Amino acid sequence: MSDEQSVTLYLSSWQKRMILDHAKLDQPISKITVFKIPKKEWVMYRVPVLDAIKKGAWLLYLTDEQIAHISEVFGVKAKFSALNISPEHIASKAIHIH
Amino acid sequence: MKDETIESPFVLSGCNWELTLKCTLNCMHCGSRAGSARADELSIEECYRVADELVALGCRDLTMIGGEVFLFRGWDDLCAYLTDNGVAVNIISNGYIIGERELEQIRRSKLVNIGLSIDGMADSHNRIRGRADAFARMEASIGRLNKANVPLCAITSLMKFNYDDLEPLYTFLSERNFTVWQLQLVSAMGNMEGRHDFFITPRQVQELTEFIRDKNRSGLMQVIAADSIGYYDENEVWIRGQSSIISCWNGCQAGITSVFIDSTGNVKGCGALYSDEFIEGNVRTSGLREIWNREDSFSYNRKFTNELLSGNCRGCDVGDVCKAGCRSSNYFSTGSLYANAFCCHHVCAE
Repeated sequence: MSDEQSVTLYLSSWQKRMILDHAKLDQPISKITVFKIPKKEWVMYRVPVLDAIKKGAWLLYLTDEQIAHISEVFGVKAKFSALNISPEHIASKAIHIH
Repeated sequence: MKDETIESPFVLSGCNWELTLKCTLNCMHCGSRAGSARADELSIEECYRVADELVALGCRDLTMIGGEVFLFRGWDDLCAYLTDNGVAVNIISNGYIIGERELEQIRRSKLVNIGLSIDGMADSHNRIRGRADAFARMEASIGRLNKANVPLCAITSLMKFNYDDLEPLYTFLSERNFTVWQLQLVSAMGNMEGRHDFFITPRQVQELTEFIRDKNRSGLMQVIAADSIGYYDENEVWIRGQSSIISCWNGCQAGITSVFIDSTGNVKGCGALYSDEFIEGNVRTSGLREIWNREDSFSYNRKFTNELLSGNCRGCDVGDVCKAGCRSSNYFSTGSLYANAFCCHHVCAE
């Protein structure tokens, strides 16, 4: 059984502006869907010195409701306010902005 | 008889590999008391066999350490071999002897980056390294590496007397093209055995996570907390880099996703567990795959249950994900693998 977990977040106006600052998109956007990433890889820790820098990575800050939703779905116990988004996520369609 | 070599459910992704204990320096905080080579260190031919096993096990990230890596003949070709087989490799160096010959080795090695151990500004660094010229030589090495466009990381081991160097050191490193700076705590092991008077306090560790968070907001250079720092205070997701969508501590990875091999082939979950009781086997006699897949290997982590938590960690509300933090820090500070003395979650709750 796959442990992949998809989450769709509807974007606020300031989140749309934030995304357009980082991702070159030519169509209107309203939501971001994160999928194809195993649940356990959502919240994890890897060898930092080799893996810490993702070139072009940026943060998608979240609303309180989105934080509460993600915390519940993934059982996140750390306090967080944003998602780390890398160009590889978008290129691989693991994160889809649409 | 039970087959102990069935495939393990634990997938190896990272490795720290001590190629030699021979070192150009003998630093006051060295956990492995480096200086002279160990007796009967692995030959380069044996190292290639280990490399093949690491690749076969799926290892993706590898850090070569010493002693001083540059004193192990053939490290550069071994590094290139691993890289050609899909492993991202970096090395840690004390930066004392990086000249033209070492630069040529670095070029040949195909490494991802080189991590330099820098323990403060000149006075602190020289005191820890035990050489009056250590910082100047380090600075000269950084200049050469910058000129050769070698990606740089820094690693700083913190104790009482270099704690105040954090701010100037951040400026020093960010002005010299360092991309990552890892901060770690000195532990009561090796040359620091019994020297608890040198260690920073749990409250200072919590201040440290705030320092890291503030610096990462500025984005000049990524600052990372090593495994011995943090654990679920409000700064947790700001101090672990950006390796996943929400990067945060999820328990010691020794024997779960990572392994350590010393220069004689002894295998442990983590190189900072400086005690023979943590040796799971030796690559000369068992082979790495067999050691990794053995049912009883790394049982202190693979068979972890919340009931093992003790000291400050007993009954903790994040104990099931944190699993008491860094095993090595715990072992050498509290005597228990499952009780952490520097936990920021605990400090904040007090």
